[in-house]
Amino acid sequence: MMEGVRAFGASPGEGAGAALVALSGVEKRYQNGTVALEGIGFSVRSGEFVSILGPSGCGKSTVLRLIAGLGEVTAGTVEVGGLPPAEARKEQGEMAYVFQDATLLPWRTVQGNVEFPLELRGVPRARRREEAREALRTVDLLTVANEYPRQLSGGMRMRVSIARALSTRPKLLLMDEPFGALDEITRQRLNGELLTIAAMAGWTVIFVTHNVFEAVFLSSRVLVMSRRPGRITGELPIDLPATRRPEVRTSPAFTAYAGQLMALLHTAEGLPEREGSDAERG
Amino acid sequence: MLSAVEPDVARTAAARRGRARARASWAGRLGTVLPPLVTLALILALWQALIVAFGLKPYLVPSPWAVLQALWVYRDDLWLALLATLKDAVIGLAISVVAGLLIAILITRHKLLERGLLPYATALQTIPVISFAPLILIWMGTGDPGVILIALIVAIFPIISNTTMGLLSTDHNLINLATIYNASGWQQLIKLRLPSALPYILAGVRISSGLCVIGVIVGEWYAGTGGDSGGLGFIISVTARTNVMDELFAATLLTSALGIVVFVVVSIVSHLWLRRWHESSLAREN
Repeated sequence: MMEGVRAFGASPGEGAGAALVALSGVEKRYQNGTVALEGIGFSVRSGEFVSILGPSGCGKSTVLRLIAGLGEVTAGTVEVGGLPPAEARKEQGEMAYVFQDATLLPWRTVQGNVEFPLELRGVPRARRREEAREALRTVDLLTVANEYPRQLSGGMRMRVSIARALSTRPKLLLMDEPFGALDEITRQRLNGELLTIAAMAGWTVIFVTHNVFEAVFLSSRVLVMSRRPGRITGELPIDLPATRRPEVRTSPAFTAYAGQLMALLHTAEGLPEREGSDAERG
Repeated sequence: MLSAVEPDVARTAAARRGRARARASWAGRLGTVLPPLVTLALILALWQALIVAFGLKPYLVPSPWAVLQALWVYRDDLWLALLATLKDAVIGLAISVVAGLLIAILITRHKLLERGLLPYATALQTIPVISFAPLILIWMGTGDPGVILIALIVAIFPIISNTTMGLLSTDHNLINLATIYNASGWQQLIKLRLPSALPYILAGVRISSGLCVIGVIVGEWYAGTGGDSGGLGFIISVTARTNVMDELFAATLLTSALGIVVFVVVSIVSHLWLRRWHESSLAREN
């Protein structure tokens, strides 16, 4: 494992860069009239690690898909680097996406999967191989480069998926509950690895989760969403030390942030005090 | 970042499974081979017994031994016929695979084509081969092209319907992935939809391989004495009309053997192609 994790998120408010992603007045209404999202507006600066935290069904994944240009808004605007998402995507290395499950091509080896986006981009074979190996080395999976996804554990598959995103050298990484299906131990380890890699690669990350502790550990800023319709109901900058070791999870500051986020979630939902929900397993 | 513990564990587990398989294999193989052999022996015994019991004449029912002798006596004719049938069946199968794939790709690319054609493609499968085989031979003559066309018509539908099904069931997340990485329509087809449809396609080819042999036999049978393609169907047609029972039985036996061989070859190719990644081709311990 890594020696301590460096979170790169600059202190909030202090501009680490221009707004890379900007949403304003975004509404998503389905054809049957259901309003999935309403009045969503926020921006993410370069180098930030922003988590979108909310209960299942609040539309947080939909927000992420809109930023990726999968689907159209029914009102408002989404811009990535000043362009509509679908155009921003076309620019090389602008954007990578990590899905809820690993979304690997079962007929390709680990190496072949990591090469996939580069292949689509027309990168020559030799360079493709090299970049993929580099990415696999970063997630420490070089030893299984020639295995097929089936042969790997869930955690390893997720790391392949991250390596695939890494190989494209994106400016913006969108992650949709990537560790939701993993056990807590694996999840915590991958959280640590993700922070290290993101800092190293200089990624701007938007990370969707329903896990309060994961959000605190990873983020420089957390947006809280509520459901029906999906709205952003709160925002909390996480001002923890830049280097986040696993032990930070038991520090008083960490617990205080987690408490604040839970309170924000509760107010948003208008729920009674609860015990042992998803978020508290963190 | 992470020790190499997981792959090591996976490897030793695989090695253990391998050894267990080797131990079980002898008993296992005997268990697979023996039952069908016993069945075969029983059938042959029953066959012979019925002939003796009812005093059946060789021009009505030849004995198993007579059929074996016929296989030897008529070996030259039968061998040539077998090759002719095999050739037409393989050509028919090859054309149905290529044409079936193309048609399925077209159908799935254009929703209108799918709506317009798929119901008929499905309905056409219900027309029995014996009803259109004579027509085709009248139109195309009794040579190889007519026979191959009959085989093609019989064999192409499983490929069209399976490929269509396969192309339409590509994992939605994978399509999103390809979209995000800006895959062109062509790239999506070649790198995503076709590979993910491969298990469906190969299952279709397996069904078609059997049908193809039957199609050729029916074609040759209709072409009959006037046919210039020869083939096992031709021999079956002629010997049935002239009561050469031992050769009829021998030709029938060969037809069945040919069908099995084609089916097995296609199955092996399919298995080799899929074994590394697809559920259907993986050995399971539980």
